[in-house]
This record gives sequence, structure tokens and C-alpha cells, in this order.
Amino acid sequence: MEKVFIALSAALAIGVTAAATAWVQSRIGAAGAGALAEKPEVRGAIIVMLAIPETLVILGFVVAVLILTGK
Amino acid sequence: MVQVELFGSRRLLPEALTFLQAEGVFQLRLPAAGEAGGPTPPDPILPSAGDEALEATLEETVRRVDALRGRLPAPSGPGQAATTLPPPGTPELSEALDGLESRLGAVEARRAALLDENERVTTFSRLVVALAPLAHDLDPGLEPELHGLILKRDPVALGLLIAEVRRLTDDRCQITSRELDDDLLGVLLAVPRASGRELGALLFARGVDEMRLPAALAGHSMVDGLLAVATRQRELPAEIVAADEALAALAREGPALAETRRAARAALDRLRASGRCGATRFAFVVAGWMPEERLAPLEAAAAARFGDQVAVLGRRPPRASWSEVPVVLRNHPWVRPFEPLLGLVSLPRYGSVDPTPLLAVGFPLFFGLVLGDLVFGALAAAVALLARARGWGGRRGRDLTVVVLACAGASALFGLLFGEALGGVGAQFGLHPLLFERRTNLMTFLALTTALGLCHLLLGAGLGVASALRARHRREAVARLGKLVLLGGGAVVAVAWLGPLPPWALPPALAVAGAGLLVALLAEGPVAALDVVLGLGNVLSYSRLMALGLASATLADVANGLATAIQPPTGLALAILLHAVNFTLCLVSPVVAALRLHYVEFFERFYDEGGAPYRPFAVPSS
Repeated sequence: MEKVFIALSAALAIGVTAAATAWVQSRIGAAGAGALAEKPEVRGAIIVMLAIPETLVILGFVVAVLILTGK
Repeated sequence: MVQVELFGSRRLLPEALTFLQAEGVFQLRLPAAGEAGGPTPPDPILPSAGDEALEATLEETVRRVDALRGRLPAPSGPGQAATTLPPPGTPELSEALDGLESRLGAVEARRAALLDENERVTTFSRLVVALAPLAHDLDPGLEPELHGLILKRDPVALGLLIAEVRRLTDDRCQITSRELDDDLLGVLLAVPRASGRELGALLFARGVDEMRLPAALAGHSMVDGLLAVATRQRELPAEIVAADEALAALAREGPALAETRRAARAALDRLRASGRCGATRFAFVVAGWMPEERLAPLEAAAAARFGDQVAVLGRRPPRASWSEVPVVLRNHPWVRPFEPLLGLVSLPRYGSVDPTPLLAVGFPLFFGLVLGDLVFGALAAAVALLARARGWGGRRGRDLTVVVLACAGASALFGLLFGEALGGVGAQFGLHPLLFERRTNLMTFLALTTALGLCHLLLGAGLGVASALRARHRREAVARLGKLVLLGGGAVVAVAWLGPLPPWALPPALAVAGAGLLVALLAEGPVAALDVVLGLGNVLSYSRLMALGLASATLADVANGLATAIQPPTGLALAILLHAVNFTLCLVSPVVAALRLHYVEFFERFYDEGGAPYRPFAVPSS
């Protein structure tokens, strides 16, 4: 039973943060596509902005690893 | 960069601007107080009515030349000017452009008419060939007129059309039709000339596209019409070729037009530049910046051109003006290819740190840490060397290969350290990790990436302190130093708390971190407290290198598992496909992650962006 909870916790840690990242990236992506249509020179800045919310899922991944490895 | 002023007699200003434009190293700025020998800025030179008229004429010239060049075909053969055009801004040039536009318009109209006639004759000839075996028996006294139609095969529509035409001509018409292909039907109507106009109106009203006979053939009999069509069909290709040759002859004016445009743009730039110069009653001053190493050649050239009538004075820009000084990045040739990676952020300000050398080390390091595969590294290096040998992409491509080679080398190196070649395949051939196996030692890999991130951030914080000191922002330097101490002390606290350091190290580390926080708070205010959280977040952000690296290694293992689980050749093909997908993904994800770590986490600690790019006043290239 304990293993089930551990697995579930790890899954929640990565799943919730992945969903949050996806939601934020969808908002940035939509706004970025609009900005790109008017100012193509901001392409680089938008790519970087799109990468910023990845921190959420990365931290979720780290927490999941910590849960699974029992550290 | 040096700040430079040119002084001279006011009458020499146009010549001085022409000289500076030809040299192409001088970026203009508005003269400030203290220049031209006075405590107040010299008066700006206001444009006269003549200048405004000349500017309008030059702009019109550029617009007309652009329009002409857009209409002319690309010149074939060497781009030598057939003629030279008069100088821009003169009535002679306007007349020459009028003549060219007129000739070009006539040739274009002639060519368009010939092409249209050719299309009509070709289609009509196709129709006539189909209908040639048929003859009409219309009375020649009615002056029969031929109308050709190409219709979709629809017997009902054709029947309706025949009925309408018979009604319109009182049954004095001849209608013949024949299939042109599976879908189309050719129809030839022979009607009295008196009914021709009404028939045209009827076809127009019914939306039927009529194949009109060329005007020259209108009213001809069938035989005459056929002969005339055949004659035109033979003549037209030669006439079209002649029109093309006439157009090609005009295209030889292209280089002359390009030169005229360049001269007009240069004259416009000089005219506008004079508005950025200062003048007193007798003297002018042109102020600006230029690279320091180009000052001596400019002084020599000015002395040779103007003697002692124009003086060139150069000095280092005062600290107060650093925010306006344009920036030129100067790096070692091996580092220069990494400069485009800075293109996603604005240039560093003059006098601040240029992070390109740090990017040249950090970017391949992070990329290699993620890819970390001997075979993938070798593959990327092979592609880069091939691109370099073939010269793909010109100079930019060559620069890109340097970046790719650095990343490929780092990938191969980390592949050796982690013992990976196509995931675990390398182990089958005796490849063992020199450092550790990252696929199984997750915590060690996590510790490695966060430790690397901590060192990276400490380096950035140190650069931030140095940069603030150099700019003489003492308070900011103290705040940055406090944050640096907080980050370092916090790292020691974390290590001591997790175990690798003895417990006695914890209290002094806490004291050092607390002192750093206190200094930062005193220098920057309560906002500095945020750095406790931000610093931790920034360090943990480097764990993305571990996450992406692990994903890459796991995907490689999945590909290898497919090869063993499924019978060949399907399993092998799937494994190769998945390795290819992994390789492609690994070319994108680490690039974005490595750039983001630099831009967001690393640069935040020292990078002073907002530098203006160096744009010298020069003769336009086109």
C-alpha cells in the first residue's frame, strides 16, 4: 500500500506541474504567435519566454525523483 | 570606442560629410556642450528650402528606381552597366528615368499583347483543327463572322445555346461542334456580321467565355480565317522573342539603376546627416564615435584630404556618456561564432561585461551534459565537418559549424564520462563510465547539475560585483556582494545539512549567509530578501540539465530495448528510427535549455543590457 502512495505522490508531483506548465505555455504560445505576426524580430525572446515555465515541471520532476528514491 | 569631433570651416561641411561617408567608420551623434569651443552646444544646422526640395527629389528618385528595377527582368551575363545615368537630384536624371519608364512601358505593353494574342490564336487553332472537317454553308453575302467557344460537355446546355442562337439570327447561322477531350467541347458559330454584337451580348449574359478571334481576323471567311490563324501562329513566336530581347536590352540598365539608387541613398543620408551636425557662424563640428584603432587612419586620411583646414580630435568617452556609446563586440576568432547566440538579447552596454566568452564555454558544456553520448557527439561532429568542407551556408554556416563542433566535442566527452554510446550499446563493446552511470545514479547526476549551476551563478554574481564596481555603482556593488555571500553561504549550509560536510560547518555557514543577507538588505532594501528564494530557484533550475539528459538516455535505452524485443529487421528499423528521433530532439531541447539558463539565471546577476549597436555613417551597400 505504501508503494502505491509513493507512486501516486510522484505521479501527482510531475503530473500537476506538467499540466501547469502546459497551461502557462499555451498562454505564452498564443500571445507569442500574435506578437510574431506583427514583429518577427522578437522570435528569440518568445522562444526564451516559452522555456521559462518549464522550471515548474523540472521542479516537479526533481520532487518526483526525491519521492521515488526515498531521499 | 573613442569619441571624435571634426572641426573645420563651415563651407567644407558637405565635403567633410562625403569624406566621412566614404571612410564608413564614423557613427554620428548630435554635438554636445563644450564642443566647437563653447560652453553651449553649437547650433544645429537647419535644413533650407532647397535642402527640403532636394530631399523630396532624392526620395522620389529612389522610389522610381525601385519601381523600375522591380519591373525589369534580372540582367543575364555580367552585370556591367550599359549606360551611366546622370547624377541623382538633377533634371537630367528625371528625364532619363522618364524615357526609361516610357520605353519599358511600351515594351511591356507590346509583349503582353503578343502573349495574349498567342494564347488566343493557339486556343482558336486548337478549336479550328477540331472543327476543320466541318464546313458552313452560310451565304457569303451575309459576311459570316466566326465565334469560337469551348464548353463543358453538357448536351442540354448546348441545345439551349443552339436554340437561342437560331432565334437571334432568324436561323441564319451555322453551329458546329466537336469533342476536344473527355470534358470539353469545341463549338464554332458562324453568324451574319449583323448579328455578331447581339450574339456577344447573349454569350456575356449567359456567362459563356467566348474564344474571340484576333481582331485582325474578324469578318474573315472560314478559309481566310484559318490561313490567317496559321500565319499568325508562325509569326508570333518570333515577335515574342523580339519583345523579350527588347526587354533584356532594357534590363542591361539594371546596374546603372542600382548605382543611381546607391548614389541617391548616399546623397539622402548626407543631407540628413547635416542635420545632426553643429555649426557656428564660420565653423562646423561633426561629432560621433568610432573604433579606437581606426582613429589614426582617419586622422591621416583627413590630413591628406583637407590639410590643416579640418581638425580631428579623439578621446575616450567620458563615463557620463557611456550609456549612449555604441557597442562593438570584440572576441577571439574561436569565440566570435558564439556572438549570434547573444542575438536573442540586446547588446551589453558600453563598458559592461561581454558574456560571449562565458557563453562559448557554458553553452557547449550544458549541451554536452544533456546529450552525453559518444555516438551522437561523433555524428554531430561529422555533420559539422561535412558542412564545413562543403561550405554550406557561407560564412554564417562556417561559424555555426564551430558552435556545433564545440557542442559535439562536449557531448562525446560526457559520453565517455557517463559510459554512453547510443545509450547502453556502448557497454556491449566495453565502454564503461569514467565518472558514473547517469541512468542509474539519479541523485549523483542531480547533485552534479545543481553544483554546476551553483558555480555558474557564483561566477555570475562575482562578475556582477566587478561590473558594478567598474561602473562606480558602489551601493549596487555592495548589494551584489551581499547576495554573492548569501548564495555561497547558503550552498555550504545545504551541503552541510545534507551530509557531505561535517555538522560543525553548519553554524559558521549560516552566520556567513546571514551576514550576506544583512548586507544585501542594508544596501538594497527589503527586496533583497527575495534573493533567498530566487537564488534557490535559480540553482534548482539547473536540474533541467539532469532531467533532459535522463530523458535522452532513457529514450536511447527504449530504442535499444525495441531492437532486442522485436524480431529483426522490424525491431532494428524501429530502434534506428527512435534513435534518430532522440538525436533530433537532443539537437533542440539542450539548445533551448542551455540558452535559457544563460539568459534567465546567469545573465540576471551581471548582464547590463541595452547597448546600442554600432552603425557607422557609410555609403549604402544597395
